[in-house]
Amino acid sequence: MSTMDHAAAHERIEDLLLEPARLAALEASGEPDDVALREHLSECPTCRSDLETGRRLARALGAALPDTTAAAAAAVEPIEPPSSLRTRVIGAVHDTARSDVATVPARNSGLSRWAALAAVLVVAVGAVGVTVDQAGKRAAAEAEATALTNVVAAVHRVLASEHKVVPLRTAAGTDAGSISWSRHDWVVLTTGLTAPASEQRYKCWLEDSERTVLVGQMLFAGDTAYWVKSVDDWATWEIGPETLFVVTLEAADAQVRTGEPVLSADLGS
Amino acid sequence: MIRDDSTSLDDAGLAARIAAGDEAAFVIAYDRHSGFVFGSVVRFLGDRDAAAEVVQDAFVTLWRRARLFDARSGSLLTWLLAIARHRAIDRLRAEGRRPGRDAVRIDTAAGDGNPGGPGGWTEMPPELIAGSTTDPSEVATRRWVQAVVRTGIAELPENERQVIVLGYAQDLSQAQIAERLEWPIGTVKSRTRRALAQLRLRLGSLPELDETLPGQPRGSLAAEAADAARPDR
Repeated sequence: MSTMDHAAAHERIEDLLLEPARLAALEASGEPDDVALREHLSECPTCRSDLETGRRLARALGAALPDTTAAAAAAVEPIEPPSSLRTRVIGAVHDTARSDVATVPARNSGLSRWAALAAVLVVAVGAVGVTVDQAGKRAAAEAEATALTNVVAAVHRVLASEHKVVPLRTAAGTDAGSISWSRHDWVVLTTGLTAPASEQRYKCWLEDSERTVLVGQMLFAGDTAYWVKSVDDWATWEIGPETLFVVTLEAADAQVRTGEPVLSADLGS
Repeated sequence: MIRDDSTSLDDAGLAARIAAGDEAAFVIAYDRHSGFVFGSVVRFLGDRDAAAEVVQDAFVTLWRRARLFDARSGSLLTWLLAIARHRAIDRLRAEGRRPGRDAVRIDTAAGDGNPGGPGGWTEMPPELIAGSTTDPSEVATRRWVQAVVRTGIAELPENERQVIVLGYAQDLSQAQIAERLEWPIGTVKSRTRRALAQLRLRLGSLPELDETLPGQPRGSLAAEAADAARPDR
């Protein structure tokens, strides 16, 4: 049984690290504290690991420094990057970002189909806006076009990064759209809903066996219903094997789910 | 919840935002880590202009491949350093293959830390160039670790740098350092402890520290960074 406890051993190791020569001499040292530390180390893998980490760093420091003080001091003088490099790097990344947006590759996924559809809808809604001779309807159409532009932008962001796409299904089990998400954005697109009555909304929920959380509501542009959300303004949710995304028809001000699923997606699939 | 104040983000949060195309997050990562990466590459290559190109390349790779970063494998700085190391070695190899050259000349610049002066080297050893009889990757690893460790020390406050230099370059005891610098022994010890803690934090997950020891597995982060450093596919 070691006479040195864990805290005392840790302190002794920290002391030895202050002086590499004493650290190197630990195995041969007859000092009572060193003898006690060796006994403790023989029984304590945690302290052995701490000591080895310290030794590794000590060896790296010793190997990295020239032997004379002047040479060592010169070798570790701070080196600042030129300020022009910052401008260059940020400019290069900005240019890369712009070219990436312009050349997002078309992928053979359900989502890219939706991207194309959403883009078509933007054009269609814009065209309707031009032909309707009523300011209110035109404003509404333009608002829809703006919303769909945001949908398209979100779709592109999702496609441009690591993402997952899962089909949305009706209660009868037929495909009715998709939900896709990356680390940053969520996009739901469906043609499986018809616009609700004015006092009702299609609410979006995330749920698993333990909880159900309201995350948003579906919006409409023509026959397409969508929900787009950035993780910036939405609490994170750990997607587990049982996590479901569910759409239900609820009263406009509902905060608790009461309706049956109209659409759902198994996010853990 | 991810907030707009990206300056408070940890490495994983920052990388996630960069992967999502957030240029502001990228700028924060650049300001946070470019000094360390640049200092390491300058010390390794001995050429500020070449180092600037390598650093630019490494950060553009971060922008394009941030989705590959896995915080469980190490810090973002370690990941960037691994990418920069690959790029720097590629550069040396490319220059070493030029006809009629058996060594890479080092351009030193006064006032920039003088990597070619004491503690640096004025010519890249031929062992670093492919085709040599010595394993060039081992030599490169030793040189790289030396460059990164020196940069880690260089980033310390001056009074902490002093105690590390005296303790680890000259093997002075804490008492001898106290006498040399005319500081109380308690001050020397506390500054050395702080310096070592900081160095452990910055260098602890550096996989090459393990690679230089026999029987140690190569860090997974290094493998991921090697993947990230491959030319765009």
